[in-house]
Amino acid sequence: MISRRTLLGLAGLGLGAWALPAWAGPSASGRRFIFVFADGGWDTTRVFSPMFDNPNVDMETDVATAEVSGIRFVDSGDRPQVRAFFEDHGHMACVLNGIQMKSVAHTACKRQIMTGSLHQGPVDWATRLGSRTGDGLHMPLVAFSGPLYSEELNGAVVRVGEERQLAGLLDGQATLDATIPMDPVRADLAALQDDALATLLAARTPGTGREADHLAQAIAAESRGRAMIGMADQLDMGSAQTLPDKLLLMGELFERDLAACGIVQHNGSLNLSWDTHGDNARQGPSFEQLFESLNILVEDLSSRPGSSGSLMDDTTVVVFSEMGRFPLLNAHGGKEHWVWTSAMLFGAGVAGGQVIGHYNEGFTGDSVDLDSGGLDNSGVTLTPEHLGATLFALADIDPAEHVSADPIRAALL
Amino acid sequence: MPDPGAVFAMHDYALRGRGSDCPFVLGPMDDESWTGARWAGFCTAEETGWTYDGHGWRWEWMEGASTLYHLLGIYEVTTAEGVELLVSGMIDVEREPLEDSTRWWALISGTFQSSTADDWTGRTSGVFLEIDHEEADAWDRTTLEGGLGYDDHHVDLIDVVLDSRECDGNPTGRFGLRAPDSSWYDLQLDATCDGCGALSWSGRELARVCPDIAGPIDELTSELRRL
Amino acid sequence: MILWLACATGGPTDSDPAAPSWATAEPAPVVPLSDDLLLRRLSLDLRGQLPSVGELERLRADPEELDVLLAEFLLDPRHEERMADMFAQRWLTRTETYPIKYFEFGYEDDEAHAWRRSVAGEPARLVAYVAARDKPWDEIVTADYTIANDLLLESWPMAELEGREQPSNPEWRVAQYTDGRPRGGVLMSTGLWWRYYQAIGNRSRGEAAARLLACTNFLERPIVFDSPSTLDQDALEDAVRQDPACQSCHSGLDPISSALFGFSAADVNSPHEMSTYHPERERQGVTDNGSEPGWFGEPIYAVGELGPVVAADPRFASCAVESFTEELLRRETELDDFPLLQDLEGSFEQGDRRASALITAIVATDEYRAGGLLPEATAEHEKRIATRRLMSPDQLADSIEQLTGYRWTSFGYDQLTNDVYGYRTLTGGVNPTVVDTPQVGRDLTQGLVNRRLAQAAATYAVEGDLAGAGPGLLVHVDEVKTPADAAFDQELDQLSDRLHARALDDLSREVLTELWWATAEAGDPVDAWAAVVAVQLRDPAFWSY
Repeated sequence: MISRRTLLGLAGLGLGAWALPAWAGPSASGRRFIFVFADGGWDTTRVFSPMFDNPNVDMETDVATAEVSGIRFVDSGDRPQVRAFFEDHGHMACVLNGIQMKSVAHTACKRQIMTGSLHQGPVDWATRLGSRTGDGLHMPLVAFSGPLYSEELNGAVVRVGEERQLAGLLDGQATLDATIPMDPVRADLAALQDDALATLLAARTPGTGREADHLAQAIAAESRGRAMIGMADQLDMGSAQTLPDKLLLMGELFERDLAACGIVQHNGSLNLSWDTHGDNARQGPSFEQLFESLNILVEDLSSRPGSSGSLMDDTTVVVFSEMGRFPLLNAHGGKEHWVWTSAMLFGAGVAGGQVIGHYNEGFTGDSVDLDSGGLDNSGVTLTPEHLGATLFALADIDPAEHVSADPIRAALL
Repeated sequence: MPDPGAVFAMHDYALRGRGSDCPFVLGPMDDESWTGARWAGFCTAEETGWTYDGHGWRWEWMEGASTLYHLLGIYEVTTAEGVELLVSGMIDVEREPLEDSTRWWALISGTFQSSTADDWTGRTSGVFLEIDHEEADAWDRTTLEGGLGYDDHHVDLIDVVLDSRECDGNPTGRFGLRAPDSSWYDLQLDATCDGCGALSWSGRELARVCPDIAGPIDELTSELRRL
Repeated sequence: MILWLACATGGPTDSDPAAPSWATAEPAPVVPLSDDLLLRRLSLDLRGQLPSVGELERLRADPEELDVLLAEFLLDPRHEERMADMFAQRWLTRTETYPIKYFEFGYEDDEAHAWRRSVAGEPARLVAYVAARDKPWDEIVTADYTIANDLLLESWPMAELEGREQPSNPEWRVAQYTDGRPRGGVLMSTGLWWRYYQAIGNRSRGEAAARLLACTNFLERPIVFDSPSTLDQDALEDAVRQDPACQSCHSGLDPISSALFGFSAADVNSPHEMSTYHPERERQGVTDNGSEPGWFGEPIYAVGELGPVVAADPRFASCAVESFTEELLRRETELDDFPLLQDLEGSFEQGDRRASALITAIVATDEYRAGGLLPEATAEHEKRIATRRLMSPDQLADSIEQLTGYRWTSFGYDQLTNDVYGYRTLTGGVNPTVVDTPQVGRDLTQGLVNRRLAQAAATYAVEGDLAGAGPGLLVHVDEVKTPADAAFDQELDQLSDRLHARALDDLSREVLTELWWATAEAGDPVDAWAAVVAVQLRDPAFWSY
């Protein structure tokens, strides 16, 4: 008969790489990434692209162009958080204008902005970065919400759930609230089960192909899950409801070296989406809410210790949307979809205080020189692949491994 | 023919049964330039026994010299006597005085039904109709585009024009009548301007016919002019 | 109006996947599954649940029984449920958001999930009904009926249709719309067009129809425009209708969209407008899109013609083949699959386009039956061939309920099939707006969901069985008090057989026996048996098949 000592000994083989340390050092590159996704298609003329002199663009009234920290933006008295962001953090922010999409459909554009492709297959930037920079962490990419195309790398993704379902899985409340309520198994009894399962899996012949994959993935998942459950009372995964809450929680997970990347979606003011086919005026409050959250994020990350300074020094934030909006208002006071959009990077590794790219009279993107960031007719049109390449470069990953476009070197320190 | 006035009247009638707190009714504020009322509710008025489920808004306002009428609603109202009113859509009308003429433009889209009315709201199952009518002392012109359902019949109109100055006052355009099997009989009133046109079915020409279209169109525009 | 602009510039871009260089006409280097595991795979893929011990024993007694059992699976009532789950996932119909809300039809909060699943279920169940009843596949677009339940019959203008063979699930019945819409199967389904709705223009619906029924994906075609002159709204509309680059998509897309204008609602927030078909608007696409109704060059004079025209399109049959193949082989088909797909289409046509013929042909392939790879397999083979599959959330929930009687629901929500409060995407499932393809690998949250469900279900079953009123998961309860009893090993053996379709190896026997003792010592026999069952439900041998 196998002894309990042997049982635990074999189980120890499974815990291996995922054993919970008291403190784990930063991951190999030390770079963290946060993706903040505005779902539905934002109107870049509300913040990123002042186009007051362009008769082909319907701008708001009672707003003006401002330039702060080298960034020209649309300044509104109703959006003090936007101004505050650029005043306080514009020096580390880089706006990318004139990113060309190849669709006007939400589903296609989400895939393209996240992977560079309209086709299924390529893994999204966040998952790829999480799997690399977060290798060895319990939650390489913590996903509160937002589009992901993880493909074969889904093991790097830890979904929290729109209603923070992960919390219930960790603390066992998930089945306590069921129609047939079942108490979570007592911790000591659960440990016996975990040890037994680990023993079985550790001793199993891997097989070939996906049988081997599933076994290895199961060993890793069970070990990580066990560790996460052990931390459940220290990790408040359940109370982050608002965008700022979720961003703050990301900071905590970064600080505790539990996660290296995070993604969260903003659904617009009052959760009414950024997809303003009617009532484009909603874009203003949506931007204000978004930038308020970004201000909170920067303040929070700046207060947390990082690898050398603060966590903000280790973290790059990507703020983006899957498409822009048509420059002219429609009959319902809204704006339709547009194939050109903007994005903003700020934080670690970003050459801030600048705007790269430009919308011309036709509200399409002008070509840019990737090295200087200046407009150049012989340059390139910015695409999501350039964004992806830039992010890989920021993570010290060779972009050529994953995309066919070059990074926007002008955006890199 | 569907005219907006009937729906406006139905809408106003629907509020006759309102109580002190059912439905919630809001009129224009002092600084607002429109007249009319907005209401919303899912309730039964104690005082009248009428039930309200949904929301509605009818308003009129001026833009320059134009008068604009608008109705928007998704609601069912049942009177104490059991009369059922259904509004599910919107109506826009603009009356615009021009230099030598007056123009009415209307878009009626949705379902507007009254269980007892003897006008078109008593029989219509659905409407999507755009009407553009302009008239002066010596001429008038009406264009129609859209479709409507009467009882179990469904018709559509594509590029229908009736201009007293053109085609000897005869209409042009395509009229369709849907058969029960979802095929369509089409009457294409053509440039021969004799009020006649080719009747076809599923793309196959059947005959040449000369219907009276002007009458119903005149009836519609006369209702429109009352606004 | 959403701007559907100039489309394909010719075809795939340089960022699109090219045909794999490793692809040859050589047979796949696979090792077949054992008969037991193949039966398990067939049962899960075709019925969504595990094979019974009796079915396994029949196969063990006579390997020739495999074909007989396969035929029985295709006639099993659970096959229809499985087909409904499969197509709901593939067609991305199980969304959580519709423009019309459940409460607008008078339903309460605890009915929200059931109502949404009913709306989502209608098109998938129509397809499943045709597939399971072995009707010609054309019927999914030509049927004069739909499939509805009480919630839909109360909400939408439809009535039960008497005299027809009913679906396997008694909750659902054959019904017919009463609002004058023509026959057309899923093409005339309110459930499908609520999922793919659009306020103006209908192009989203046209896109969906082309993708789901002809496997023609307009969204994968890149649009490019580089002329400032196209900024003007009128010029853009002209470009859509005249520019060759735009017309390369719109010439196909817009006529389909025009054919579906009977579903146009004056207000997408109006329950009445959205629930009712509008015959008077059938031809408004001519004005809106500038296109007469049609299907890829074939004019449609009556919307009732749309279904037969679609069915007559060669792509309809090939798309059916592609769909079933991708679902059963658990991968996208590629250019080098052409010979395979041709063969399968031949089987499909020879079988009068009945799903059973196609399914039978697919599951007979070496790739479907692959359980491992030969040493000469390349990395591409490893990536491509599904020698194991993950149970989907539906399969996991159904299988665990089958074994233990436990269904994880909460406030009216089935917790493994929703994301509002549940764990669908956390369990690797598809959410139409967030995760549009099922996950391939096992991850942390899948493990956590499985853990909690396994522990809850195991405890539930064991408590019941030991009290004499359980699902019969433990069949030797009356003979077993401790592992010292002779029947203990028999109990372990039958559990392994039922849950994993394999014999228990010596190490597993030792580990599970020790687990029983240790848990009983710390707890009680209920805890002990629940632990044994839970561990086996968490084992890859259960959820990987």
